[in-house]
Order: sequence, then C-alpha cells, then structure tokens
Amino acid sequence: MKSSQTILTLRGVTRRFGGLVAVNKLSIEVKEASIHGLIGPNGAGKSTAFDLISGLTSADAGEIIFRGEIVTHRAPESRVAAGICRTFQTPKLFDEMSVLDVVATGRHLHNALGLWGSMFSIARKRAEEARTISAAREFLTTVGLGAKADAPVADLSYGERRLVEIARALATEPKLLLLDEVTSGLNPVETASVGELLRELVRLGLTIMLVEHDMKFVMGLCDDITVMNYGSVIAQGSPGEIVQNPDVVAAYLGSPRDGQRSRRSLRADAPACP
Amino acid sequence: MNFSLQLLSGLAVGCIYSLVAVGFSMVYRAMGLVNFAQGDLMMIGAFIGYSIIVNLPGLPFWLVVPLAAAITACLGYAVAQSALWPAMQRGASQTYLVLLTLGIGIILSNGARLVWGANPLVYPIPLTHETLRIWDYPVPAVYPFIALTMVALIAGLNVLFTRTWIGLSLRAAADDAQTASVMGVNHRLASAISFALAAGIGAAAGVLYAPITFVSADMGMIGIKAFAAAVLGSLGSIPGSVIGGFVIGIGETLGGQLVSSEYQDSLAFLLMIGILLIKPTGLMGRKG
Repeated sequence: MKSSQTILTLRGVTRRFGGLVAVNKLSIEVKEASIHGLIGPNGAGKSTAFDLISGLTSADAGEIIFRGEIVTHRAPESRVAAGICRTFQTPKLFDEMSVLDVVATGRHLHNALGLWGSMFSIARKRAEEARTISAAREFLTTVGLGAKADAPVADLSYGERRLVEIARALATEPKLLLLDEVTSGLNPVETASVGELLRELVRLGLTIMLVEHDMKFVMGLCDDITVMNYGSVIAQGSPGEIVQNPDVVAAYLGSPRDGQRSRRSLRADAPACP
Repeated sequence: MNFSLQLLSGLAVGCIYSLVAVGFSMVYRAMGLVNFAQGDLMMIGAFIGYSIIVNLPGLPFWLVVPLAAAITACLGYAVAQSALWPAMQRGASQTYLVLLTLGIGIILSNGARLVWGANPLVYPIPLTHETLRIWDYPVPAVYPFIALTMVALIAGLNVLFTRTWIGLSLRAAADDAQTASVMGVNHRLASAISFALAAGIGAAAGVLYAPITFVSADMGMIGIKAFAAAVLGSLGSIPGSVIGGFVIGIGETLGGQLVSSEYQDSLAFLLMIGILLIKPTGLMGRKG
C-alpha cells in the first residue's frame, strides 16, 4: 500500500547558534505516507530540526527539498502553502480565542478570496466565512473535540490543548505534519487515541514526522526512525534496527555495558531520557 | 444646565479620544510599538476630509468619513510597509521606534502645512455651525453624528475581529506572530493592515472632530492625550482605550469647568497619573 516516494529530503542541513552547532549535517529522507520518528536525548537538536523544516529558523548550510522543490530559505507561510505544518513542544494556541476560532486560523490560506478580496465582496465573503467555520468544526470533530468548539481555549486541559493544536495544523490541510512531543502531558488513554488518529491520517495519505520521548509510542507507530545526539545523526532505520543499535543504547543510557537492560527499556514505556 | 452641556461636550470629545486611542492599541498589539504618529494621521484625515468637501461639494458628510478614512488607511499602509517594517525587521530598539514614529509624525505635520497652508481651516459645511436643541439646550448638531459614527466604527471593528476570517488572522498574528506564520499568516502584511486600519480609524476621528474645532497642522497634538487615554485603559486593550478616551474627555471638560478651562490639558494628565497610581496596569489591566 505504502508508496516509497520521498516527500522530504534534508541534505547536510546545519544550524549554528553562536558557537553551538545545534544541528550538524543532518540528512534525512522521509517517505510519503509514512511516520518518521526523530528521537534523541534532550538538546539533541530535534526541535531545531523541526524549526528548520517549518521555516522558523534558517539553515546555515545544506538543503531542504520538499516534494521536489528546494524550500531551504523560504518563509514559514510559504512552506505552509506548500504543505508543511507543525505543532509545538508546548502547545501554542492563541489564548484569547475560542477553540473553534483557533482551529479556524488554520484555514487562513484556504480562504478563496484572499486578504484583499475579502475586504470588498461582502456576499461571497459571507459564504466563505461560513465555509471556514464549518471546515474548522470538522477538523475539531476529527480530533474528538467537537463538543468544546465554543469554549475559550484558556479553559482547556493540557491534553485538550494538544488536540486543538493538532486540529489547527490539520486545518491547513498539510501533506507533511510535524508533531513535536505530541504525547507529553497526555494520559495513556489519550495517547492511545492520538496513535489511532495518526495511523488513520497516514492511511489517508498524510506524512508525519514525530519528535517524541515516549519510546513505546515511537516504536509502535513509526515506519522509520532517525536518532540524533549532540546535533548529529547517530542511527537511522526501522524501529527493529534502532532498538538493536549499540550507539543508540549508549546515547540514551550512557552505559554501553549494560546493553541487555537498556534494550528492554527502549522497548518498554520507561522514560527514555535520564 | 451648564453641567449637562459640558457633559455632552465631554462625551463628544471622549469619542474622538477613544477612536484615536483605539488606533494606539491596535498598532501596539499588532506591531509591539507605540505609534506617536497616530495623532498626525488623524490630522491628515481631517485635512483630506477638508479637501474632499471642497472638491466634491455635493457629497453628503457621512460619506466624507469613510472616504477620508480609506485614503488615510492607504497612507498608513505605505508608512508601515516602507518605514516601520524594515526598521522592525532589522531589530530596531524601542527607543529607535519611538523616534521613528515621532519623526513620521513631524513629517506628516510639516507636509500638511505645505499642502494645506499654515492657517487653521474650518469645514465649509452647515454642520459646523448648526445646533440642535436637546432638553432645551443648544447642542452642536455634529454631536449625535460623532456618537453614532463612533459606535458604528467600534461595532464594526468588533465584528471584524471576532466574526471574520481576516480579523482572526490579524489577531493571531498580533498574539503570536511566529505561530501564526506556521498557519500561513504573513506577519508583514498583517502588521501593515492593522496599521492601515488604525490610521483609517484615526482619520475618521479627525473628520468627526473637525466641525467642533479648527483643522490645523498641529491638531495632531491631541494624539498625546489619546495616548494617555490608551495607557489609562491599558495599552493594547480596545475596550480599555474606549473607556480611557471617555474618562479623559469627560474628566478634562468637567474638571476644566470646575477649575478653569486653561488647565484642561493638565487635568487630563493629572487624571491619568492618579488612576495609574492606583491601578498601574490600567483600567483593563490584568493582575500584577
């Protein structure tokens, strides 16, 4: 079923902050309609990698190719238009809005009238606003929060805020969705249902990249995994290959001798970060 | 009797301060800067209104307001795109941005003197001199017009920001530009549109203010009082700016009546200082 076509290629992507090399010659190939995990200890450069892919920070060297186009230095809004959307490690909603309005902001580029058109054509504008809201409602239902549409986002629980952020990202109708620690702060039931949702989305053709600390979640869900440490890639492969990799085990637990136990805790739901 | 008359006049002036203060708050939220040219944009709006009245004598006055607002909004858009955004993009400090907007204000004021002359002008329309009788008191006929337009503008802004897609995007960009950009909102465009809207509202205030005063190049001075109104109501809060405008407008008029109208301006600021001493974050400020 799964196509092996590459949707995103990072080639030698490097980002320095002063003397610190946050991301060092990062090369990744992400296959279309797959889930690609990006894991590694804290400070490994995973979130910076997401910033580079989504355009919030610009690469000092290397190339980012998305669906055959070089997007390395494009502005974030142009990458959204191309089909890349993301969530944040700590959900970043617009705190004075209602849940529905937050999700509706994700429809920004899907408004057929555009910024100027909507100022002038009142009749078409009204139809367009209605379409925006009903689309937002649909995406909210997708993540199971349809009932909370009119609540202020400030009233939501942490887990619900994450789901709203996913709904908002989905509302942009991305081809590639970057999820930064999507399960952190979720209870096991919520985590399981997010896993189900992601599987379903991938079945529909979406490509997902995950930065994740929950090893059970990553190993159970991902088709491919890239492991980073100190900004560089230390391993790439299928979940099965990753758990066997001695470098990965060492990076996570800092004790290469105790390989047996480490492997087990990589598989189990023990927190990966010391 | 005199008291009610003064109250009405305070309300009318309060409407004007409110509208200009709303402009301060909108720009502050969208761009994180205090636009000291806001008062001068209001002045430009009043002059553009004058030119419209002189050149299109048949045009009803209620049409002059949106027309002058639209033209001034275009000017505001150009200012934001050509001067403010490039400065912000290069990481200009607040000190620099304050000087930049003050400078833009001075250029606008001198430019107006160049185009419209140094003598104060009076709108050549009957509304300038007409009076109504309310409860048997003579009241300038423009007062209800000011009140209605002000209410319509604020209601319109409220609909724009809460009910429309473009308003949502503007709010998103003002709240968190980076996150909004990941939703496809262009920060530069959103900032420029917010600035243009604020300029347009300021211009509407200028056209409304003109019939009860003179139109002159230093009319923008009331921008300082409107700024005080915005701070008083918590800079960045639109309801706060409206309330602040009325507090300053009514306070200075009634206070001027009690003490002496020469001290009106000082009273306005005394009021601001007093309120901020009691509530340092402004009337609509959050705790802290």
